[in-house]
Amino acid sequence: MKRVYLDHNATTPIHPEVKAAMIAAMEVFGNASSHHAFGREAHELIENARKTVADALGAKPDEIIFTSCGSESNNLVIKGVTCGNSICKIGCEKNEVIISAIEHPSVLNTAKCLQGEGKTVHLCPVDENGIIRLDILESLISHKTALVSIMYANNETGAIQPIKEISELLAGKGIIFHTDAVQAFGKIPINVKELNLDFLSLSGHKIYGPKGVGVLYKKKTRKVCPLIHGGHHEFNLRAGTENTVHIAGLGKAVELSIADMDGEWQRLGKLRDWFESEVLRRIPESYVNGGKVERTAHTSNISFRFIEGESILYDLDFDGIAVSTGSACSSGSLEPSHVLLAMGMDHGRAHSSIRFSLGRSTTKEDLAYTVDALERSVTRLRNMSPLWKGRKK
Amino acid sequence: MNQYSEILLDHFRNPRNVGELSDANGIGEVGNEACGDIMKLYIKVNDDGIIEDARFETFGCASAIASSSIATEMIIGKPVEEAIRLSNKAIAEALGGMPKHKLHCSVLAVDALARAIADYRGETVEDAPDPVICHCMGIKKSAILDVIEHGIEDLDEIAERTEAMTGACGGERCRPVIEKMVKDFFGDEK
Repeated sequence: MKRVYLDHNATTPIHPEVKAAMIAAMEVFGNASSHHAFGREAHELIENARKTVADALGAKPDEIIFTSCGSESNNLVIKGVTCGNSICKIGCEKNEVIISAIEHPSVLNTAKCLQGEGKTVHLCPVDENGIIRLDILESLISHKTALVSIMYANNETGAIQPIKEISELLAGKGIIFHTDAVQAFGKIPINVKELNLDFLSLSGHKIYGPKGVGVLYKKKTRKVCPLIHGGHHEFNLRAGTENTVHIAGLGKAVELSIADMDGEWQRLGKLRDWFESEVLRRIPESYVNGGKVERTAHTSNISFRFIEGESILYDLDFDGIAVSTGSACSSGSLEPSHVLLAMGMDHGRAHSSIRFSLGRSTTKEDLAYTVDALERSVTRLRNMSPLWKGRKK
Repeated sequence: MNQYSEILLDHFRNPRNVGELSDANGIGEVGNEACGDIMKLYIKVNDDGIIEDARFETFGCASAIASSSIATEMIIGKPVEEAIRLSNKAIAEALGGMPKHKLHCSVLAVDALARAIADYRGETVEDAPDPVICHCMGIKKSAILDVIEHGIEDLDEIAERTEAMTGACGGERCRPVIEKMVKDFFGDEK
C-alpha cells in the first residue's frame, strides 16, 4: 500500500547522510573528556558539531549546550534561570515568568511547575490567527519579570511569532528572553545576535536528525542552573558523558537543513498552498486554521466541521496516510487543542482539526492522493454525523 | 501496536445499522459538540416488547462510532427488559477491549440506549433509578454509594475502590458530584 507521511512536525525520518555520520561516529568510542587519542577523537566530533550549530545560529561555539532533547532544553532554561538557589549563583529574586498561551507542553508544564514553587506565571494570549498579542505582553512586563519564553513557530498551526519585536520590547529591561525554536529552526533563518536572544531551544529529530539530542543556545553572559549536576561537561551546565553519536548526527542534520532551507521553503510552501486550495475547493465546510498569517511553509491545520478529528486520522491511516490531530479524543483529555482554543476557536471546530505537516519526501502526487482519501473520509463520516444532517436541514 | 482492536476498527470502518430509523418509537441522544461526542440512537420496539430494529448516528472518534455500531447489534432482537441491562463493560468486551481513556465512548452508547428506551416508555432518563456518575469509566451511583456507605469518605480511596474519577477527564466532571455525595452522607455527623 502507498504510504504518505504528513506528520513532519511530530518527527522526521533520519536523513541518509545523518545516518552515515552517526554510523561513522559509532566507531569513535572514546570519552570526550579523556586526554588520550581516543578521547580527543570523540572531543573533535563533538566540537565540530558544536561549531556547525553555532555557525547556523550566528552564535559562538561556547554558547551551544548539547542536551537530550528540546524538552530538556526548555526545562533547563525555564527552571535554570529562575532558580533562587545561591549555591548555583543564579539567585533569581524576580518572581514572575511570562509565556504564551500556545507553547509546547514542555514549556507550559515546566512553567506550571514553577507556579507550584510560588512563582507567578502569566499566559500571554494570542489573536485569532495564533499570533501573540504584543500589546498584552507589554502590559504583563514588570520589574518582577524574570523570564519571557515565547515559541518561534507554533507546532500546530505553524504561526511564526514576532520574535524580533518581542526582543526589542524586552531590550534593556533586564528580562531574560528565551524562544523555543524547535519548529522554526532549519526552516527560517535565525540569527541569535541579530535577534538579541538570550536562550533558544532546538531539537535534532525535527530536522531529519536523531531523536534524543537537542541544543540550548545560551548567550555567553547569561547564567543558568543545571538540571543535571555532576561533571564539567557542557561548560558545567549539563553533566553526563556526551552522546557522541547523536551529537555528530545532529551536527550533520543542522548542516543539511541550513543548506536546503530556502529551496525547501519555496517548494513546500507551493505544495502546501496547492493542497489547501484543493481541500477547500473539494470539501465543503473545511477551514484553514491560522492561515492568514506567516506560517512555516510545510504546516497546514484544517478543520472539517461536524466530524471529530480522530476519526479522520484513523480513516487516513487505513489509506497509509499519517497525519495528526490536536483533538481531545486522541490524547485522552476532554479539551481539544489548547492552541486552537487560545485562538478563540469554538470547541466544535477545534475538535474537527487535522494537522498536515509536509517534509522533504512530500510530492504533489502524495498530496493529490491525500485529498482523494480526505474527501472519501469526510463524506463517509459526515453521513453518519447527526450534526451534519442537522446542518443540512 | 494500534490502540484499537481489529473488531473495534472493523466496526469503525464498516459500521452496522447507520442512519435514521424513520419508524422508530424510541430515540435517545447524548453528548454535545463541545465534548467531541454526540450519539443518537433509534429503536423500534414491537408489540411484544422486542427491539425489532435499531440505528445510530454518531459524531465522535473511532471508538464512539464503533461503540454505537456494536450496541445496535447487541440489542436488535432483544426484549427491552434485557436490552436495558446492557452494560458499557459488555460493549467494551464485545469490541475486543478498549483503551482506558476511551471507555467513556461505551458509556455514551449505554446512556443513549437508556434514553431511547425511556423515550419509548414515555419516561425521562432522570427517572432512571441508578444514573451513571463517572461518565469516563461508566461508574453508576450505586457503586459509589456502596463504598461511601462502607465508611469511606476519602476521595482518593473512593477512586481506588470504584475506578470513578480515574478516567480520561481525571475526575473533572464527577469529582464535585461525588464530593457532594460524601458530604450528604457524612455531613451531619462531623
